[in-house]
Amino acid sequence: MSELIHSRGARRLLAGAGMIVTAIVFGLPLLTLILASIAGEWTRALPSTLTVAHLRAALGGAQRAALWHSLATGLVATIVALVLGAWGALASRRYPAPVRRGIDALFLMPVAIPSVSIGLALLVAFSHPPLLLNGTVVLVVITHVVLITAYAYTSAQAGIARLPPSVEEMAGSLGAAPSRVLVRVTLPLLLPHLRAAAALGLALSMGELGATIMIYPPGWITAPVEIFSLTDRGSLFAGAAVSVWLLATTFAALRLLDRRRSPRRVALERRRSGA
Amino acid sequence: MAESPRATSGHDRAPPRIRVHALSVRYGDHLALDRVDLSVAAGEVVVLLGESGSGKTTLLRAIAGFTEPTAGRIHLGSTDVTDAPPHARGLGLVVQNYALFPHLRVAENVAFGLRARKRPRPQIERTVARFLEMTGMASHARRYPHELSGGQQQRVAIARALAIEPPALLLDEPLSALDAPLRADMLDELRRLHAELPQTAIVYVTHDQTEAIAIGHRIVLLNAGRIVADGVPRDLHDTPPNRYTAEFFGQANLLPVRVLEGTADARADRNRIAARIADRTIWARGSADAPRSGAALLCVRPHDLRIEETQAQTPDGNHLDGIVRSAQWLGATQRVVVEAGPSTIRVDRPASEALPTPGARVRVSFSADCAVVLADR
Repeated sequence: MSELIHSRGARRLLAGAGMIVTAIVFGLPLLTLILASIAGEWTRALPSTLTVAHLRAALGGAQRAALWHSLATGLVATIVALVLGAWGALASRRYPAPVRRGIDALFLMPVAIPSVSIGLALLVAFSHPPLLLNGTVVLVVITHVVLITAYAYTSAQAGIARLPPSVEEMAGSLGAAPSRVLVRVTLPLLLPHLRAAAALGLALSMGELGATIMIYPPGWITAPVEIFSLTDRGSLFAGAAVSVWLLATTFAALRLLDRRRSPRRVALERRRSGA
Repeated sequence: MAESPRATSGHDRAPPRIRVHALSVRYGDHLALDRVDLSVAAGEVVVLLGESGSGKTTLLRAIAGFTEPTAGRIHLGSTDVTDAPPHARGLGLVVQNYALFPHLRVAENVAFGLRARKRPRPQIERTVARFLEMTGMASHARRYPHELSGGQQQRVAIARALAIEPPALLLDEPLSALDAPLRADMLDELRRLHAELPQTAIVYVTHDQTEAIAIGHRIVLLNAGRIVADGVPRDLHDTPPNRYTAEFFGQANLLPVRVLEGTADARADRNRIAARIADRTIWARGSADAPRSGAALLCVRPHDLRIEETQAQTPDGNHLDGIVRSAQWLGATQRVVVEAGPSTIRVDRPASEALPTPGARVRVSFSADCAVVLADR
């Protein structure tokens, strides 16, 4: 953007304005949320009393269970979505372009459909025998898988498009059977992309409300559903406290996913970035 | 690699390392390979030469197992591998962009094929060390491919292909990504490697005739999916069997002539043909299937022509009179273009000679040994 402007002063002004807008739009709500989670009373511009009671309460009972449900759902759904998405992207390479476009559409459809509608569709589809999953945890996981597989699929596709030409053929000519080529060459080279997809999928799943609210069973309330019902009942600060813990959990999970990079990965990424 | 191993070793009654029989590859309406036959003996270096789109890479890929033939058979030794997947063929392959595994170190790249074969670890280590040593990459074993120069990557690619000790090594334009001086070095290197592994057959794909001549025991020239010439480089150069071969090798002058009937073998010494060109009779050698009468082409290489300032008779009597159109100094040589009747003749002479003036009348002469009559097709 700023390349469009020549004057140095104007460029600085624009950069400053951009930072302020970003801070207001992204930073302020987060700050407010954290403040709300520790607010005892909040009637003016700032909370008049502070307390850790909400945060402490959010680590016990139903709220703690809700955090655990979200984490578990997110992890399982992410793993399943990664397998499905990577497998779909790898398999779609073998088909002619029209078929490939069909597979693309199938995987990407959930992104275009409102999540509430997806929840409703799955609820209806799985409420009759023999596919009676209504009111089970499995349906929650399936719903999340449907919602996030698109991201795994597109990430894997992007990775495949960037595979160095003919390395897979070369592995084959060196005597590696297709399964060995996949495990030793293709997947390691796709790893950075799959990792990014996993992070995105986990974050999306742990924050998912629209579809979950349509299908969650009473015994498996996720954190976003809990937050929604708490605030719906007027417990704004309690909801904020669960939100803060959800945020912390997601953040911790993402950090684990992007744990210390091995020299091999650094080397690989340097190569890929063309440095 | 001057001598073909087939000429020196009389013992190979074993089947050829690679035998391709009537192989065709069709992509939709396009016939990429048209009933091609090829046989490569143990230790032989065969160059598949041709312009892009001639089918040379398609042939190599079909041998490697990446391209499915529409018709024909491929044998490795006595095994029919036409329907075998690439990983079951055991051939070493080196491609233009090297295709090293970017996530593996040099030593791991070279070990890849051995690991796929489940060789015991000590043997893998020994073999990897041996081939890294042979290619001069031993000191780079712990590096990643992106830390190497193009030439070094190519050495690793060759070491990796050789480490599986394949019966045949397939090289697809292996030097085209390198700059000229490095190319010459790598050619020497490849010749040296082949001397160390004299039983390995090599199929080398290139569009560069210099490379082909430098490395090939035999050159197979392809055009539009067909083999147009197959022979020892010297023979193809000196006695091209057809027009395409003559043009591809060394920008030969191709002059339309009429072969005089009944003149073949008229002279007692060797196979000589008399032909008429611009009211003169000249003598030349005949290629294998040169016409015995009627229209033909006379092939003379620019450096085999001399320019006589005088009107002196030449021993063979082979000369054409013409007018100098242009003369250009090119460093080591000079290129003179002479118009002789309907023909334009290119002459390359040593730069030490005086540069002729355009418009001057000159006599272009050549020995009958250097001129070949061939069929115009």
